[in-house]
Amino acid sequence: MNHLSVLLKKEWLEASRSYKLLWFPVVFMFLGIIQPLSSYYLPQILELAGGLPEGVNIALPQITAEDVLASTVTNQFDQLGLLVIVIGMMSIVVSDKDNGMLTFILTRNASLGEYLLGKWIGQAAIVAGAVATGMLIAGLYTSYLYSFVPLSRIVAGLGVYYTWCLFMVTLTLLMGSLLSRSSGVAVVSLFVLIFLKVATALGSGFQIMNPAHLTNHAVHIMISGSALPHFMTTAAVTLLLIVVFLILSHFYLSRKELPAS
Amino acid sequence: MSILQVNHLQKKYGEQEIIKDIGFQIQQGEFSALLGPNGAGKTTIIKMLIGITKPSGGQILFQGERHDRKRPFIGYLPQHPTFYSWMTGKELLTFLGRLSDIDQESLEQRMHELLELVGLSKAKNKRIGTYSGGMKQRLGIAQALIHQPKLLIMDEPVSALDPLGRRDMLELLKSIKQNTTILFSTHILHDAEELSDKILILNQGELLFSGTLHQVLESHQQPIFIIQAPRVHEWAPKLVNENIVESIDPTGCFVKVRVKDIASGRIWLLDRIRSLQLPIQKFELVQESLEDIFIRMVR
Ligand SMILES: Nc1ncnc2c1ncn2[C@@H]1O[C@H](COP(=O)(O)OP(=O)(O)OP(=O)(O)O)[C@@H](O)[C@H]1O
Ligand SMILES: [Mg+2]
Repeated sequence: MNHLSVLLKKEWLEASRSYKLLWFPVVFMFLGIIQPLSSYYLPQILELAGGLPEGVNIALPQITAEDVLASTVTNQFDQLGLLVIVIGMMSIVVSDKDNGMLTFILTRNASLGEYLLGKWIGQAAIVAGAVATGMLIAGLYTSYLYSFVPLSRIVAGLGVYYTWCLFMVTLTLLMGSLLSRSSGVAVVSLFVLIFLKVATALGSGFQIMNPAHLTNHAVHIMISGSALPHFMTTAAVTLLLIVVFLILSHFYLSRKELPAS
Repeated sequence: MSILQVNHLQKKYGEQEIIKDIGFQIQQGEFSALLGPNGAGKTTIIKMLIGITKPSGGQILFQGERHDRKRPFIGYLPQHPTFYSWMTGKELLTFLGRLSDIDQESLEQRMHELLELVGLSKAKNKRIGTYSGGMKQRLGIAQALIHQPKLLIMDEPVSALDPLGRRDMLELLKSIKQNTTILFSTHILHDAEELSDKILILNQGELLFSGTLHQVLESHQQPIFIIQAPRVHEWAPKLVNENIVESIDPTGCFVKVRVKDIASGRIWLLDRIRSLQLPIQKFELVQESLEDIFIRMVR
Protein backbone atom coordinates (compact mmCIF):
# COMPACT_ATOMS: atom_id res chain seq x y z
CA MET A 1 0.00 0.00 0.00
CA ASN A 2 2.99 2.19 -0.59
CA HIS A 3 1.37 3.87 -3.61
CA LEU A 4 -1.62 4.78 -1.49
CA SER A 5 0.52 6.80 0.88
CA VAL A 6 2.12 8.61 -2.08
CA LEU A 7 -1.31 9.38 -3.48
CA LEU A 8 -2.60 10.54 -0.11
CA LYS A 9 0.36 12.80 0.35
CA LYS A 10 -0.45 14.33 -3.02
CA GLU A 11 -4.10 14.85 -2.05
CA TRP A 12 -2.96 16.59 1.09
CA LEU A 13 -0.57 18.84 -0.79
CA GLU A 14 -3.25 19.66 -3.34
CA ALA A 15 -5.80 20.45 -0.66
CA SER A 16 -3.41 22.77 1.10
CA ARG A 17 -2.24 24.48 -2.10
CA SER A 18 -5.82 25.08 -3.18
CA TYR A 19 -6.67 26.30 0.33
CA LYS A 20 -9.36 23.66 0.62
CA LEU A 21 -7.76 22.67 3.89
CA LEU A 22 -8.50 26.17 5.09
CA TRP A 23 -11.86 27.14 3.64
CA PHE A 24 -13.65 23.86 4.27
CA PRO A 25 -13.25 24.02 8.08
CA VAL A 26 -13.85 27.76 8.02
CA VAL A 27 -17.21 27.36 6.29
CA PHE A 28 -18.30 24.66 8.73
CA MET A 29 -17.05 26.70 11.67
CA PHE A 30 -19.18 29.56 10.47
CA LEU A 31 -22.15 27.24 10.09
CA GLY A 32 -21.50 25.91 13.57
CA ILE A 33 -21.48 29.36 15.12
CA ILE A 34 -24.44 30.81 13.32
CA GLN A 35 -27.15 28.57 14.79
CA PRO A 36 -26.40 29.04 18.52
CA LEU A 37 -25.79 32.74 18.03
CA SER A 38 -28.88 33.47 16.00
CA SER A 39 -31.15 31.41 18.29
CA TYR A 40 -29.76 33.09 21.35
CA TYR A 41 -29.99 36.61 20.07
CA LEU A 42 -33.26 36.19 18.19
CA PRO A 43 -35.31 38.14 20.77
CA GLN A 44 -32.84 41.02 20.72
CA ILE A 45 -32.71 40.94 16.95
CA LEU A 46 -36.47 41.16 16.72
CA GLU A 47 -36.48 44.08 19.13
CA LEU A 48 -33.81 45.89 17.18
CA ALA A 49 -35.84 45.44 14.05
CA GLY A 50 -38.60 47.47 15.63
CA GLY A 51 -40.16 44.82 17.78
CA LEU A 52 -43.33 42.96 17.02
CA PRO A 53 -46.33 44.94 15.79
CA GLU A 54 -49.05 45.77 18.32
CA GLY A 55 -51.31 42.90 19.06
CA VAL A 56 -49.07 40.25 17.62
CA ASN A 57 -47.78 38.09 20.32
CA ILE A 58 -45.70 35.11 19.52
CA ALA A 59 -44.31 33.20 22.33
CA LEU A 60 -40.78 32.26 21.39
CA PRO A 61 -40.45 28.62 22.29
CA GLN A 62 -38.13 27.73 25.07
CA ILE A 63 -35.03 26.50 23.29
CA THR A 64 -32.76 23.95 24.86
CA ALA A 65 -29.08 23.42 24.14
CA GLU A 66 -29.90 20.11 22.51
CA ASP A 67 -32.36 21.78 20.14
CA VAL A 68 -29.71 24.23 19.05
CA LEU A 69 -27.25 21.48 18.22
CA ALA A 70 -29.95 19.56 16.39
CA SER A 71 -30.82 22.58 14.24
CA THR A 72 -27.16 23.16 13.52
CA VAL A 73 -27.07 19.77 11.89
CA THR A 74 -30.40 19.89 10.07
CA ASN A 75 -30.56 23.56 9.14
CA GLN A 76 -26.93 24.45 8.55
CA PHE A 77 -24.83 21.40 7.82
CA ASP A 78 -27.48 19.60 5.81
CA GLN A 79 -28.19 22.62 3.63
CA LEU A 80 -25.29 24.96 2.99
CA GLY A 81 -22.86 22.33 4.27
CA LEU A 82 -24.13 19.73 1.84
CA LEU A 83 -23.83 22.21 -1.01
CA VAL A 84 -20.27 23.02 -0.01
CA ILE A 85 -19.27 19.37 0.15
CA VAL A 86 -20.63 18.65 -3.33
CA ILE A 87 -19.22 21.82 -4.90
CA GLY A 88 -15.86 21.25 -3.23
CA MET A 89 -15.63 17.67 -4.47
CA MET A 90 -17.28 17.91 -7.87
CA SER A 91 -14.13 18.10 -9.93
CA ILE A 92 -11.85 15.72 -8.06
CA VAL A 93 -11.96 12.87 -10.58
CA VAL A 94 -13.20 14.85 -13.56
CA SER A 95 -10.18 17.13 -13.69
CA ASP A 96 -7.77 14.20 -13.52
CA LYS A 97 -9.60 12.53 -16.37
CA ASP A 98 -9.63 15.73 -18.38
CA ASN A 99 -6.05 16.80 -18.09
CA GLY A 100 -4.61 13.31 -18.44
CA MET A 101 -3.13 13.08 -14.97
CA LEU A 102 -5.17 9.94 -14.39
CA THR A 103 -3.47 8.38 -17.40
CA PHE A 104 -0.11 9.44 -16.03
CA ILE A 105 -0.83 7.89 -12.67
CA LEU A 106 -2.12 4.68 -14.20
CA THR A 107 0.78 4.33 -16.63
CA ARG A 108 2.96 4.14 -13.53
CA ASN A 109 2.66 1.19 -11.18
CA ALA A 110 -0.32 2.50 -9.25
CA SER A 111 -3.62 0.72 -9.78
CA LEU A 112 -7.00 2.27 -10.37
CA GLY A 113 -8.15 0.95 -7.00
CA GLU A 114 -5.31 2.72 -5.23
CA TYR A 115 -6.09 5.90 -7.10
CA LEU A 116 -9.78 5.86 -6.17
CA LEU A 117 -9.05 4.90 -2.59
CA GLY A 118 -6.55 7.75 -2.34
CA LYS A 119 -9.15 10.22 -3.59
CA TRP A 120 -11.83 8.83 -1.35
CA ILE A 121 -9.79 8.75 1.84
CA GLY A 122 -8.31 12.17 1.09
CA GLN A 123 -11.66 13.86 0.55
CA ALA A 124 -13.30 11.97 3.41
CA ALA A 125 -10.57 13.18 5.74
CA ILE A 126 -11.02 16.80 4.68
CA VAL A 127 -14.77 16.58 5.22
CA ALA A 128 -14.25 14.82 8.54
CA GLY A 129 -11.99 17.59 9.73
CA ALA A 130 -14.38 20.29 8.60
CA VAL A 131 -17.55 18.73 10.01
CA ALA A 132 -15.89 17.90 13.31
CA THR A 133 -14.53 21.42 13.64
CA GLY A 134 -17.95 22.89 12.90
CA MET A 135 -19.68 20.58 15.33
CA LEU A 136 -17.25 21.19 18.16
CA ILE A 137 -17.50 24.94 17.70
CA ALA A 138 -21.27 24.65 17.75
CA GLY A 139 -21.01 22.58 20.95
CA LEU A 140 -18.72 25.15 22.50
CA TYR A 141 -20.99 28.10 21.74
CA THR A 142 -24.07 26.20 22.82
CA SER A 143 -22.50 25.23 26.11
CA TYR A 144 -21.52 28.84 26.68
CA LEU A 145 -24.81 30.45 25.67
CA TYR A 146 -27.20 27.75 26.85
CA SER A 147 -26.20 24.79 28.89
CA PHE A 148 -23.64 22.06 28.77
CA VAL A 149 -24.30 19.15 26.42
CA PRO A 150 -22.29 16.05 27.26
CA LEU A 151 -19.36 15.72 24.90
CA SER A 152 -20.06 12.02 24.48
CA ARG A 153 -23.44 12.79 22.91
CA ILE A 154 -21.97 15.35 20.57
CA VAL A 155 -19.29 12.92 19.48
CA ALA A 156 -21.76 10.07 19.01
CA GLY A 157 -24.12 12.30 17.03
CA LEU A 158 -21.23 13.59 14.99
CA GLY A 159 -20.10 10.05 14.17
CA VAL A 160 -23.54 9.12 12.90
CA TYR A 161 -23.90 12.35 10.98
CA TYR A 162 -20.46 11.87 9.44
CA THR A 163 -21.54 8.54 7.94
CA TRP A 164 -24.13 10.51 5.95
CA CYS A 165 -21.38 12.95 4.90
CA LEU A 166 -19.31 10.00 3.77
CA PHE A 167 -22.24 8.97 1.63
CA MET A 168 -22.26 12.45 0.03
CA VAL A 169 -18.53 12.24 -0.67
CA THR A 170 -18.78 8.78 -2.17
CA LEU A 171 -21.77 9.68 -4.32
CA THR A 172 -19.89 12.70 -5.67
CA LEU A 173 -16.85 10.52 -6.35
CA LEU A 174 -19.03 8.04 -8.25
CA MET A 175 -20.58 10.82 -10.34
CA GLY A 176 -17.09 12.14 -11.03
CA SER A 177 -16.13 8.73 -12.38
CA LEU A 178 -19.25 8.35 -14.51
CA LEU A 179 -19.62 11.85 -15.90
CA SER A 180 -17.20 14.03 -17.76
CA ARG A 181 -18.16 17.51 -16.58
CA SER A 182 -17.97 18.93 -13.08
CA SER A 183 -21.20 20.84 -13.57
CA GLY A 184 -22.99 17.59 -14.38
CA VAL A 185 -21.42 15.95 -11.36
CA ALA A 186 -22.67 18.74 -9.10
CA VAL A 187 -26.18 18.80 -10.55
CA VAL A 188 -26.75 15.04 -10.40
CA SER A 189 -25.18 14.64 -6.93
CA LEU A 190 -27.17 17.55 -5.52
CA PHE A 191 -30.34 16.27 -7.10
CA VAL A 192 -29.93 12.82 -5.52
CA LEU A 193 -28.89 14.17 -2.13
CA ILE A 194 -31.67 16.75 -1.94
CA PHE A 195 -34.17 14.15 -3.09
CA LEU A 196 -33.09 11.82 -0.25
CA LYS A 197 -33.16 14.72 2.18
CA VAL A 198 -36.68 15.76 1.14
CA ALA A 199 -37.79 12.16 1.34
CA THR A 200 -36.95 12.11 5.05
CA ALA A 201 -39.79 14.57 5.60
CA LEU A 202 -42.27 12.11 4.12
CA GLY A 203 -41.77 9.68 6.94
CA SER A 204 -42.94 6.08 6.56
CA GLY A 205 -41.12 2.81 6.14
CA PHE A 206 -38.72 3.85 3.41
CA GLN A 207 -36.97 6.04 5.98
CA ILE A 208 -35.00 3.29 7.57
CA MET A 209 -33.37 2.60 4.20
CA ASN A 210 -32.63 6.26 3.50
CA PRO A 211 -29.05 7.45 4.17
CA ALA A 212 -30.34 10.98 4.70
CA HIS A 213 -32.30 9.65 7.65
CA LEU A 214 -28.98 9.34 9.49
CA THR A 215 -29.28 13.05 10.21
CA ASN A 216 -32.44 12.35 12.22
CA HIS A 217 -30.68 9.58 14.07
CA ALA A 218 -27.79 11.91 14.84
CA VAL A 219 -30.18 14.61 16.07
CA HIS A 220 -32.00 12.14 18.27
CA ILE A 221 -28.73 10.95 19.74
CA MET A 222 -27.76 14.50 20.62
CA ILE A 223 -31.15 15.31 22.13
CA SER A 224 -31.92 12.12 23.99
CA GLY A 225 -28.75 10.12 24.05
CA SER A 226 -30.09 7.31 21.89
CA ALA A 227 -30.84 6.83 18.20
CA LEU A 228 -34.23 6.30 16.61
CA PRO A 229 -35.44 2.73 16.08
CA HIS A 230 -33.86 0.77 13.24
CA PHE A 231 -30.68 2.82 13.40
CA MET A 232 -28.58 -0.24 12.56
CA THR A 233 -30.53 -0.82 9.36
CA THR A 234 -30.07 2.74 8.17
CA ALA A 235 -26.37 2.67 8.98
CA ALA A 236 -25.86 -0.71 7.31
CA VAL A 237 -27.70 0.35 4.15
CA THR A 238 -25.63 3.53 3.96
CA LEU A 239 -22.33 1.73 4.42
CA LEU A 240 -23.37 -0.86 1.88
CA LEU A 241 -24.23 1.85 -0.65
CA ILE A 242 -20.86 3.50 -0.02
CA VAL A 243 -19.06 0.25 -0.81
CA VAL A 244 -21.24 -0.32 -3.88
CA PHE A 245 -20.52 3.20 -5.15
CA LEU A 246 -16.78 2.66 -4.79
CA ILE A 247 -16.96 -0.64 -6.64
CA LEU A 248 -19.11 0.93 -9.37
CA SER A 249 -16.60 3.77 -9.84
CA HIS A 250 -13.82 1.24 -10.21
CA PHE A 251 -15.82 -0.93 -12.56
CA TYR A 252 -16.78 1.95 -14.82
CA LEU A 253 -13.37 3.65 -14.96
CA SER A 254 -11.55 0.39 -15.64
CA ARG A 255 -13.67 -0.11 -18.73
CA LYS A 256 -13.54 3.40 -20.02
CA GLU A 257 -10.94 4.57 -22.48
CA LEU A 258 -8.94 7.38 -21.00
CA PRO A 259 -7.80 10.31 -23.05
CA ALA A 260 -4.06 10.20 -23.66
CA SER A 261 -3.51 13.83 -22.98
CA MET B 1 17.32 -8.03 -29.81
CA SER B 2 13.89 -6.63 -30.53
CA ILE B 3 12.50 -4.66 -27.63
CA LEU B 4 9.07 -4.22 -29.09
CA GLN B 5 7.29 -6.37 -31.57
CA VAL B 6 3.85 -5.58 -32.92
CA ASN B 7 1.91 -8.17 -34.90
CA HIS B 8 -1.33 -7.65 -36.81
CA LEU B 9 -2.38 -4.81 -34.55
CA GLN B 10 -5.92 -3.60 -35.17
CA LYS B 11 -8.23 -1.04 -33.66
CA LYS B 12 -11.86 -0.46 -34.43
CA TYR B 13 -14.12 2.19 -33.04
CA GLY B 14 -17.56 0.85 -33.82
CA GLU B 15 -17.58 0.04 -37.50
CA GLN B 16 -14.67 2.32 -38.25
CA GLU B 17 -11.31 0.65 -38.68
CA ILE B 18 -8.79 3.15 -37.34
CA ILE B 19 -5.76 0.84 -37.38
CA LYS B 20 -5.65 -1.84 -40.04
CA ASP B 21 -3.43 -4.83 -39.39
CA ILE B 22 -0.11 -3.24 -38.57
CA GLY B 23 3.15 -5.00 -37.80
CA PHE B 24 6.61 -3.67 -36.97
CA GLN B 25 9.59 -4.17 -34.70
CA ILE B 26 11.83 -1.94 -32.70
CA GLN B 27 15.37 -3.05 -31.90
CA GLN B 28 17.34 -2.14 -28.84
CA GLY B 29 19.00 1.24 -29.22
CA GLU B 30 17.00 2.32 -32.25
CA PHE B 31 15.47 5.74 -32.67
CA SER B 32 12.26 5.24 -34.65
CA ALA B 33 9.85 7.81 -35.98
CA LEU B 34 6.17 7.09 -36.51
CA LEU B 35 5.37 9.41 -39.34
CA GLY B 36 1.90 10.26 -40.53
CA PRO B 37 -0.45 13.12 -41.34
CA ASN B 38 -3.12 14.31 -38.88
CA GLY B 39 -5.61 11.59 -38.14
CA ALA B 40 -3.38 8.79 -39.46
CA GLY B 41 -3.70 6.91 -36.18
CA LYS B 42 -0.38 7.70 -34.47
CA THR B 43 -1.88 8.51 -31.10
CA THR B 44 -4.14 5.47 -31.30
CA ILE B 45 -1.16 3.16 -31.86
CA ILE B 46 0.77 4.75 -29.03
CA LYS B 47 -2.16 4.43 -26.64
CA MET B 48 -2.32 0.73 -27.42
CA LEU B 49 1.42 0.36 -26.90
CA ILE B 50 1.34 1.93 -23.46
CA GLY B 51 -1.73 -0.09 -22.56
CA ILE B 52 -4.42 2.52 -22.01
CA THR B 53 -6.41 1.46 -25.06
CA LYS B 54 -7.26 -2.16 -25.80
CA PRO B 55 -6.44 -3.36 -29.30
CA SER B 56 -9.27 -4.95 -31.27
CA GLY B 57 -6.83 -7.56 -32.55
CA GLY B 58 -3.19 -8.55 -32.81
CA GLN B 59 -0.48 -8.65 -30.23
CA ILE B 60 2.14 -6.43 -28.67
CA LEU B 61 5.27 -8.10 -27.33
CA PHE B 62 7.94 -6.58 -25.15
CA GLN B 63 11.19 -8.48 -25.34
CA GLY B 64 9.30 -11.35 -26.86
CA GLU B 65 6.65 -11.60 -24.16
CA ARG B 66 3.14 -10.38 -23.58
CA HIS B 67 2.68 -8.14 -20.58
CA ASP B 68 -0.51 -6.94 -19.06
CA ARG B 69 1.45 -4.41 -17.10
CA LYS B 70 3.79 -2.77 -19.54
CA ARG B 71 4.46 0.18 -17.34
CA PRO B 72 7.91 -0.63 -16.05
CA PHE B 73 9.14 -1.01 -19.62
CA ILE B 74 7.86 2.21 -21.01
CA GLY B 75 8.33 5.88 -20.45
CA TYR B 76 5.53 7.88 -21.98
CA LEU B 77 5.15 11.50 -23.01
CA PRO B 78 1.65 12.37 -24.26
CA GLN B 79 0.85 14.73 -27.09
CA HIS B 80 -0.35 17.57 -24.88
CA PRO B 81 1.04 16.98 -21.41
CA THR B 82 -0.70 18.95 -18.68
CA PHE B 83 0.60 18.28 -15.23
CA TYR B 84 -0.78 19.56 -11.96
CA SER B 85 -0.03 23.23 -12.29
CA TRP B 86 0.10 23.64 -8.51
CA MET B 87 3.03 21.24 -8.19
CA THR B 88 6.63 22.20 -8.66
CA GLY B 89 8.71 20.35 -11.23
CA LYS B 90 10.53 18.51 -8.51
CA GLU B 91 7.35 17.53 -6.72
CA LEU B 92 5.92 16.10 -9.92
CA LEU B 93 9.01 13.99 -10.54
CA THR B 94 8.95 12.78 -6.94
CA PHE B 95 5.26 11.96 -7.14
CA LEU B 96 5.48 10.01 -10.40
CA GLY B 97 8.80 8.44 -9.46
CA ARG B 98 7.40 7.13 -6.19
CA LEU B 99 4.42 5.71 -8.06
CA SER B 100 6.96 3.83 -10.18
CA ASP B 101 8.41 2.27 -7.03
CA ILE B 102 11.74 4.03 -7.05
CA ASP B 103 13.11 4.34 -3.55
CA GLN B 104 13.70 7.79 -2.17
CA GLU B 105 17.46 7.64 -2.34
CA SER B 106 17.92 6.63 -5.95
CA LEU B 107 15.07 8.95 -6.85
CA GLU B 108 16.94 11.99 -5.52
CA GLN B 109 19.99 11.00 -7.51
CA ARG B 110 18.01 10.28 -10.68
CA MET B 111 16.05 13.51 -10.38
CA HIS B 112 19.18 15.52 -10.05
CA GLU B 113 20.65 13.98 -13.21
CA LEU B 114 17.47 14.36 -15.23
CA LEU B 115 16.78 17.95 -14.23
CA GLU B 116 20.33 18.70 -15.27
CA LEU B 117 19.85 16.86 -18.55
CA VAL B 118 16.64 18.64 -19.52
CA GLY B 119 17.89 21.97 -18.26
CA LEU B 120 15.35 22.53 -15.52
CA SER B 121 17.66 22.55 -12.50
CA LYS B 122 17.01 26.22 -11.88
CA ALA B 123 13.26 25.96 -12.27
CA LYS B 124 12.76 22.77 -10.29
CA ASN B 125 11.19 24.52 -7.31
CA LYS B 126 8.88 26.71 -9.36
CA ARG B 127 5.22 25.84 -9.89
CA ILE B 128 4.56 24.03 -13.17
CA GLY B 129 1.83 26.58 -13.86
CA THR B 130 4.55 29.14 -14.45
CA TYR B 131 6.49 26.98 -16.95
CA SER B 132 6.57 27.78 -20.67
CA GLY B 133 5.39 25.22 -23.21
CA GLY B 134 8.95 24.15 -23.91
CA MET B 135 9.73 23.73 -20.23
CA LYS B 136 6.63 21.60 -19.73
CA GLN B 137 7.68 19.42 -22.62
CA ARG B 138 11.15 19.02 -21.12
CA LEU B 139 9.66 18.19 -17.76
CA GLY B 140 7.53 15.66 -19.64
CA ILE B 141 10.70 14.01 -20.93
CA ALA B 142 12.21 13.97 -17.47
CA GLN B 143 9.13 12.27 -15.98
CA ALA B 144 9.10 9.75 -18.82
CA LEU B 145 12.73 8.81 -18.12
CA ILE B 146 12.62 8.80 -14.35
CA HIS B 147 12.19 5.04 -13.94
CA GLN B 148 14.84 4.23 -16.56
CA PRO B 149 12.44 2.64 -19.02
CA LYS B 150 13.65 0.29 -21.73
CA LEU B 151 11.61 2.18 -24.30
CA LEU B 152 10.72 5.86 -24.41
CA ILE B 153 7.52 6.60 -26.32
CA MET B 154 6.69 10.19 -27.21
CA ASP B 155 3.62 11.46 -29.00
CA GLU B 156 4.55 14.50 -31.09
CA PRO B 157 7.14 15.84 -28.67
CA VAL B 158 8.14 18.79 -30.80
CA SER B 159 5.12 19.64 -32.93
CA ALA B 160 3.68 22.23 -30.57
CA LEU B 161 6.90 24.13 -29.92
CA ASP B 162 8.21 27.29 -31.51
CA PRO B 163 11.39 27.04 -33.63
CA LEU B 164 13.70 27.74 -30.70
CA GLY B 165 11.92 25.33 -28.40
CA ARG B 166 12.02 22.76 -31.17
CA ARG B 167 15.73 23.20 -31.64
CA ASP B 168 16.30 22.72 -27.90
CA MET B 169 14.13 19.66 -27.85
CA LEU B 170 15.85 18.07 -30.83
CA GLU B 171 19.22 18.63 -29.18
CA LEU B 172 17.90 17.09 -25.99
CA LEU B 173 16.56 14.07 -27.86
CA LYS B 174 19.90 13.63 -29.58
CA SER B 175 21.65 13.52 -26.24
CA ILE B 176 19.16 10.98 -24.83
CA LYS B 177 19.42 8.89 -27.96
CA GLN B 178 22.79 7.47 -26.97
CA ASN B 179 21.45 5.29 -24.22
CA THR B 180 17.72 4.95 -24.78
CA THR B 181 15.51 3.21 -27.29
CA ILE B 182 13.02 5.73 -28.56
CA LEU B 183 9.81 5.72 -30.56
CA PHE B 184 8.29 9.06 -31.34
CA SER B 185 5.46 10.18 -33.55
CA THR B 186 5.47 13.28 -35.69
CA HIS B 187 3.92 14.76 -38.77
CA ILE B 188 6.99 16.88 -39.35
CA LEU B 189 9.31 15.14 -41.76
CA HIS B 190 12.27 17.21 -41.01
CA ASP B 191 12.31 16.04 -37.39
CA ALA B 192 12.11 12.42 -38.42
CA GLU B 193 14.87 12.94 -40.94
CA GLU B 194 17.14 14.65 -38.47
CA LEU B 195 16.81 12.21 -35.60
CA SER B 196 15.71 8.78 -36.55
CA ASP B 197 17.43 5.62 -37.63
CA LYS B 198 14.18 4.11 -38.71
CA ILE B 199 10.91 5.48 -39.96
CA LEU B 200 7.42 4.02 -40.03
CA ILE B 201 5.12 5.79 -42.46
CA LEU B 202 1.50 5.61 -41.48
CA ASN B 203 -1.52 6.78 -43.41
CA GLN B 204 -5.18 6.19 -42.64
CA GLY B 205 -4.33 3.38 -40.28
CA GLU B 206 -2.08 1.55 -42.73
CA LEU B 207 1.65 1.16 -42.49
CA LEU B 208 2.96 2.20 -45.89
CA PHE B 209 6.61 1.72 -45.15
CA SER B 210 8.96 0.75 -42.41
CA GLY B 211 12.70 0.77 -42.63
CA THR B 212 15.73 2.96 -42.36
CA LEU B 213 15.90 6.38 -43.89
CA HIS B 214 18.40 5.00 -46.33
CA GLN B 215 16.02 2.22 -47.35
CA VAL B 216 13.09 4.53 -47.92
CA LEU B 217 15.18 6.76 -50.12
CA GLU B 218 16.65 3.83 -51.98
CA SER B 219 13.38 2.10 -52.67
CA HIS B 220 11.09 5.06 -53.19
CA GLN B 221 13.15 8.01 -54.25
CA GLN B 222 12.56 9.20 -57.78
CA PRO B 223 14.22 11.95 -59.73
CA ILE B 224 12.22 15.10 -60.40
CA PHE B 225 12.76 18.21 -62.49
CA ILE B 226 12.60 21.57 -60.86
CA ILE B 227 11.78 24.48 -63.12
CA GLN B 228 11.85 28.00 -61.83
CA ALA B 229 10.43 30.99 -63.70
CA PRO B 230 8.20 33.93 -62.83
CA ARG B 231 4.41 33.55 -62.77
CA VAL B 232 4.37 29.83 -62.13
CA HIS B 233 0.61 29.47 -62.25
CA GLU B 234 0.33 30.86 -65.76
CA TRP B 235 2.58 28.33 -67.39
CA ALA B 236 2.50 25.31 -65.11
CA PRO B 237 -0.78 23.95 -66.53
CA LYS B 238 0.75 24.08 -69.99
CA LEU B 239 3.19 21.32 -69.07
CA VAL B 240 0.46 18.70 -68.97
CA ASN B 241 1.15 15.76 -71.25
CA GLU B 242 -0.30 12.40 -70.38
CA ASN B 243 2.31 10.42 -72.26
CA ILE B 244 5.35 12.00 -70.69
CA VAL B 245 4.53 13.84 -67.47
CA GLU B 246 3.35 11.96 -64.41
CA SER B 247 2.63 14.84 -62.08
CA ILE B 248 3.07 18.58 -61.81
CA ASP B 249 3.40 20.18 -58.44
CA PRO B 250 3.62 23.99 -58.42
CA THR B 251 4.98 25.25 -55.12
CA GLY B 252 5.88 28.87 -54.55
CA CYS B 253 8.10 30.13 -57.31
CA PHE B 254 8.93 26.82 -58.93
CA VAL B 255 7.34 23.67 -60.27
CA LYS B 256 8.24 20.09 -59.47
CA VAL B 257 7.70 17.84 -62.44
CA ARG B 258 7.84 14.07 -62.28
CA VAL B 259 8.28 12.39 -65.65
CA LYS B 260 7.90 8.80 -66.79
CA ASP B 261 11.25 8.59 -68.47
CA ILE B 262 14.13 10.88 -67.64
CA ALA B 263 15.77 11.08 -71.06
CA SER B 264 12.70 11.73 -73.18
CA GLY B 265 11.17 13.81 -70.41
CA ARG B 266 14.13 16.15 -70.36
CA ILE B 267 13.99 16.71 -74.11
CA TRP B 268 10.25 17.31 -74.05
CA LEU B 269 10.43 19.74 -71.13
CA LEU B 270 13.24 21.75 -72.74
CA ASP B 271 11.27 21.89 -76.01
CA ARG B 272 8.26 23.09 -74.12
CA ILE B 273 10.23 25.77 -72.31
CA ARG B 274 11.53 27.05 -75.62
CA SER B 275 8.17 27.05 -77.36
CA LEU B 276 6.49 28.80 -74.41
CA GLN B 277 9.48 31.19 -74.28
CA LEU B 278 9.69 30.82 -70.53
CA PRO B 279 12.30 33.12 -68.94
CA ILE B 280 13.59 30.30 -66.76
CA GLN B 281 15.88 30.97 -63.83
CA LYS B 282 16.51 27.36 -62.99
CA PHE B 283 16.16 23.99 -64.63
CA GLU B 284 17.51 21.07 -62.69
CA LEU B 285 17.17 17.37 -62.10
CA VAL B 286 17.20 16.39 -58.44
CA GLN B 287 16.37 13.45 -56.23
CA GLU B 288 13.12 13.72 -54.31
CA SER B 289 13.36 14.76 -50.69
CA LEU B 290 11.79 12.64 -47.97
CA GLU B 291 8.96 15.14 -47.89
CA ASP B 292 8.24 14.63 -51.58
CA ILE B 293 8.15 10.87 -51.08
CA PHE B 294 5.95 11.21 -48.01
CA ILE B 295 3.46 13.46 -49.75
CA ARG B 296 3.38 11.17 -52.75
CA MET B 297 2.75 8.16 -50.51
CA VAL B 298 -0.02 9.62 -48.40
CA ARG B 299 -1.92 11.22 -51.26
N1 LIG C 1 -12.11 7.34 -29.03
C1 LIG C 1 -12.29 7.41 -30.36
N2 LIG C 1 -13.48 7.11 -30.90
C2 LIG C 1 -13.67 7.17 -32.24
N3 LIG C 1 -12.73 7.54 -33.12
C3 LIG C 1 -11.53 7.85 -32.64
C4 LIG C 1 -11.23 7.79 -31.24
N4 LIG C 1 -9.94 8.16 -31.06
C5 LIG C 1 -9.46 8.42 -32.28
N5 LIG C 1 -10.40 8.24 -33.24
C6 LIG C 1 -10.21 8.42 -34.69
O1 LIG C 1 -9.05 7.74 -35.06
C7 LIG C 1 -8.37 8.43 -36.08
C8 LIG C 1 -6.91 8.52 -35.73
O2 LIG C 1 -6.75 9.35 -34.61
P1 LIG C 1 -5.35 9.60 -33.93
O3 LIG C 1 -5.58 10.52 -32.78
O4 LIG C 1 -4.70 8.30 -33.65
O5 LIG C 1 -4.57 10.35 -35.06
P2 LIG C 1 -3.11 10.99 -35.03
O6 LIG C 1 -2.32 10.33 -36.10
O7 LIG C 1 -2.56 10.94 -33.67
O8 LIG C 1 -3.41 12.48 -35.46
P3 LIG C 1 -2.73 13.87 -34.99
O9 LIG C 1 -1.52 14.09 -35.83
O10 LIG C 1 -3.79 14.87 -35.30
O11 LIG C 1 -2.45 13.76 -33.54
C9 LIG C 1 -9.05 9.77 -36.24
O12 LIG C 1 -9.81 9.73 -37.43
C10 LIG C 1 -9.93 9.88 -35.04
O13 LIG C 1 -11.13 10.53 -35.38
MG1 LIG D 1 -2.06 12.35 -32.25
